[in-house]
Amino acid sequence: MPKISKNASVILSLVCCGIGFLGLIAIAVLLPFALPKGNGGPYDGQYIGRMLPMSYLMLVPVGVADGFLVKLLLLVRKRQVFTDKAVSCLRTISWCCFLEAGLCVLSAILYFRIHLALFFVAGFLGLVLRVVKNVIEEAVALKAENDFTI
Amino acid sequence: MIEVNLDVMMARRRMSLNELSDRVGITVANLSILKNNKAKAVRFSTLDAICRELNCAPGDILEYREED
Repeated sequence: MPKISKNASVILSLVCCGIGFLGLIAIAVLLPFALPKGNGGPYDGQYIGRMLPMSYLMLVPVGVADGFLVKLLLLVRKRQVFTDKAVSCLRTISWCCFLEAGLCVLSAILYFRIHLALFFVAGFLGLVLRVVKNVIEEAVALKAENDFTI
Repeated sequence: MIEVNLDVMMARRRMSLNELSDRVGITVANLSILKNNKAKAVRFSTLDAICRELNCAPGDILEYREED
């Protein structure tokens, strides 16, 4: 399997985050046109009107998480992985995932049942990041102890 | 908590931080961390070298104090 160098991997991840952020902006712009339309029935104008703010609200945690991912990648680039800043980034991204999961549940109850699947994905991702955050937090403590062992 | 009284012993022996650093073979920065009670742990080899150079026992450098 081809192995990408560490620096190239970080740059590639940064580019992916950038593309993700641009995609998010594109979704935000196109959202009013992308939502299902119908004359009367379940998708009438009033229904769409209520669905739109929820859809925009669901984009916010993704945007915040993307920003903190970029911040975390920049810390990796500066070789500052085992620091409190990195732990803080992971904590924020994890909370964003949990928030997104909560919004997905709300959206699934009110509008789209399919968002229940997103709830599981976002919730599980949040949980995984929480575990990674705890591991890094422990590593930060070990590093501090090692650094201050004379 | 454990307190390091390195500065007291250094004053008694009239030895500067630079001199002790040279004799013990650890950097001034690390010795300063130790002197200012910022260290999390001390290696036996470091303690051994400091005690040898200051002609003292570990108990002269390390002291246990109740936390406030």
